[in-house]
Amino acid sequence: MNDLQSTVSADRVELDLDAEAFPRDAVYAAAFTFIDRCYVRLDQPVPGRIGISLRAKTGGALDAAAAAAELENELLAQSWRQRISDEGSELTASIVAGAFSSAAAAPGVFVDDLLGADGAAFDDPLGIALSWEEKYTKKTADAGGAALEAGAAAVEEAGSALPVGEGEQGT
Amino acid sequence: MIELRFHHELYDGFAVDEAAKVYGPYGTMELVREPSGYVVRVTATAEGIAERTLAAELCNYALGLTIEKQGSGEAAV
Repeated sequence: MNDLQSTVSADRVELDLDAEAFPRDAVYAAAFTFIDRCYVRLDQPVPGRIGISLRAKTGGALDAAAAAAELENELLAQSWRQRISDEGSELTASIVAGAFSSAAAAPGVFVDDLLGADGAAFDDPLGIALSWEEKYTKKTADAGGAALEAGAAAVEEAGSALPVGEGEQGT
Repeated sequence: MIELRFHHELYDGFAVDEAAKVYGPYGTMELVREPSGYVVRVTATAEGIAERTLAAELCNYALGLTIEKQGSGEAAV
């Protein structure tokens, strides 16, 4: 039996094809191109065969011979497209895998360069890498503590330097 | 009444069911699952709608939805 057999009547086209010879997606895609102008049916008359029938929509005219030829062409075109897509899928997958693997490797190289071979922190004289809290809050607290200590020491010094009874005279 | 048969290898069961629901307001739909596929018995009840047209539109809708589901990676069940 042939891969493709078409039967044409006045308002109807029937195409019988070998299910193994054409990918299922190609059959669907070919049928779908007629869905706006025809009533499309898919059937499996016998195992291993698929039947596609097109019927003119109500009020519409159908050039059955042209529709049959167009359906056959579409079926072959979609099968070819599917084959190219399948053959190219490995190449596409390898390109995508290569792009992702190189992108994953790159950040590690840059981080190592910044940190140096031993992983120590890089030189940051301006404190750009420090957070605001580390840069200001901590220093302010230290400075305040130091000022308090300095003030207490000065008071102590001043107190010991005063002559006994001098303070009482002033009051 | 028109009896439509949808082969289970070619049509998605959910698509057939959805098509019957969409065209339900225009007729009576009786769904049956048989070993060979899904059977929908269509009887037009709406005024001015031909039973043959209703059945054909239901077929187109079921096929379109099946193809859409295939495209989105869902297999026919």
